[in-house]
Amino acid sequence: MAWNLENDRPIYAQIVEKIQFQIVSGMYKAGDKLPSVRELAAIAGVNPNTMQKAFSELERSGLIVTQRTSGRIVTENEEMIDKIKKEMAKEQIERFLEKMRELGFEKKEILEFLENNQEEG
Amino acid sequence: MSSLVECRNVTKCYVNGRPAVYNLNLTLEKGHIIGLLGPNGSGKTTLIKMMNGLLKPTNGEVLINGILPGPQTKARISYLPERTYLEAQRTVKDIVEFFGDFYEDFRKDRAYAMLEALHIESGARLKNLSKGTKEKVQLILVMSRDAELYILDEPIAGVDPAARDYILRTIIANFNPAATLLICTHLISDIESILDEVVFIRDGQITLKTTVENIREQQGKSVDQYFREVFAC
Amino acid sequence: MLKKLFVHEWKDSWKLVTLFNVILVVFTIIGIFALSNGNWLEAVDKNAWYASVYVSYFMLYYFAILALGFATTIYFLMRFYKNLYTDQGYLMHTLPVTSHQLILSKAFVMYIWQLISGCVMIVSILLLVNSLVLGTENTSIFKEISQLDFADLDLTFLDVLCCFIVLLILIGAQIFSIMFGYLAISLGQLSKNHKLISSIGIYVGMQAALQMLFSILQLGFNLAAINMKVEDISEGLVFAILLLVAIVIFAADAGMYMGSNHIMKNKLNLE
Repeated sequence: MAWNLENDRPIYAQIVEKIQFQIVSGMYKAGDKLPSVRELAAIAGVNPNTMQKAFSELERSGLIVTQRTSGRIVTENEEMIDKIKKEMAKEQIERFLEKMRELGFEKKEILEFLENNQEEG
Repeated sequence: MSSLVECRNVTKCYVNGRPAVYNLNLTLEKGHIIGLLGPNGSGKTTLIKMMNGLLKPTNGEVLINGILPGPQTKARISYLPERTYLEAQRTVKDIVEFFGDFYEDFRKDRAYAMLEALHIESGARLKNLSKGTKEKVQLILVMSRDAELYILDEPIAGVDPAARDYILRTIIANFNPAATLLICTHLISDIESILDEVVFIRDGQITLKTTVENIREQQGKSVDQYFREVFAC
Repeated sequence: MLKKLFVHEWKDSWKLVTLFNVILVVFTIIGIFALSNGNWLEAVDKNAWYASVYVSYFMLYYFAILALGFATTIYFLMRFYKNLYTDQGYLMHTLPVTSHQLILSKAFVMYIWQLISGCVMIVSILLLVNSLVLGTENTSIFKEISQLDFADLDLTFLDVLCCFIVLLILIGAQIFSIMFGYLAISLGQLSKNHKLISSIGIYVGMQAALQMLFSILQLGFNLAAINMKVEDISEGLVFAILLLVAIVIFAADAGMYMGSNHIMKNKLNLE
């Protein structure tokens, strides 16, 4: 099934985020081989050139490494994956906090709320 | 290196009435999936027919790989017209063999594999197939060639969404990275993500040629939304 | 590519024409057995029922000939129109072939079938007439012909040449009928709407113009011949006239061919 893409942003940026998420969430593990540009473009339902651009972006950040023999693999540097994971988590928390503040919660209240919520869950 | 398609000051007038295409200039490079987008009567089909050698320009010239349309260029262009052009008496297999006979770049195994994936019997006669299935057969035939230029005129209008997904995936997976695919359609949102360039045509002239990402970056909206804005009545 | 086009045109068209040929052959075989039997003819004389069978046979035979003639001309002209100037044209004109190859392949198949059907018709009629003769006179046309002594005819070289040119004229005339149809159909494409109706109209109009031309020619010929005696008509004159006719026919063939090709190559406008 084609990936769900938003209308108002460049496609390659959305693909970069999507692949980052797939790596961080463990769908592709450190050292795993990635599908070819063409295959992944077909899966995502996007233009191969756009997919290529996203791959280049990921390569520049170091998350993906091109090996002469086995094609593109996810970096074996787990620290880097972890770092990106934390960055993404931080981003989510910031977004959450902003929404909560908009709803009128103070920091203390938010923490209490979170703890209560955890006990319930 | 010469470009794949070059239109130089192309004008096409029919018997009477205003020109369908007027003094149009357009260059298409290799290795892209391009959407040719414009409202009805904007000259899309006329332009496409001239690239395929089905119409002669009244003025100017259309060059494919640097030469005028003829048997040589037709051998390298895979064209899907809006029309059902297959003889009703023939079987699907007959047509596959026909294409294999005339086009050196036709891959029969690919055609049969796609037919099977879409559950189309190769022994069936064309006249016994539904309109949608006929369109699928034609699209399969066109995409089974290793052409340099694919020109698809409204390729997905009558095809159901499941088959549409399959066909789009097949297009991406099969087509040669050096080839160019020109898709002419109204249904922009369905194919937007597989395009990398778009060409807007209006009143027989090119009004915009840019990349999908450019439109999204600069306008902050999809090509579909931008198109509706530009061509709003 | 010409060969491939030819083969596909042949494959797509042989069934119907073969069917009509077979029908005529079957009718002929029935006729041969019935007519060469003298008893049958006597029975027809005496019995009204037999007579009506006899009449209906000849009517059906006539229709079989008509159908075969239809199949070899109108059917092939319709194929030309449908293949090249309707939706199917989108396929045919985007094949890696030239307009020459498209026209020639179709004309060649049509020509061969006209030849085959023409031979079948002639042989069929000959056999039927022969059977009639056999049934009544107890002799055979073929026997009579075989008894002719060609040496008696004392043919000169010019005679043979004239025969050869007559043969050429026959071939040219057959090509004429094909190219005439192609040109009419192609000219019809130039009109904006109702292209098929235009084609038919042009065909009929061209046919009428041709008839008129023939009438005028014939009139002129008669006027010229009015003061001529049979002895005045030399073999040389006959040869010259035949040669002229052959040249005119082939020139017309070529002209109509080039006209059709020009329209197909430069003025094509599929809807």
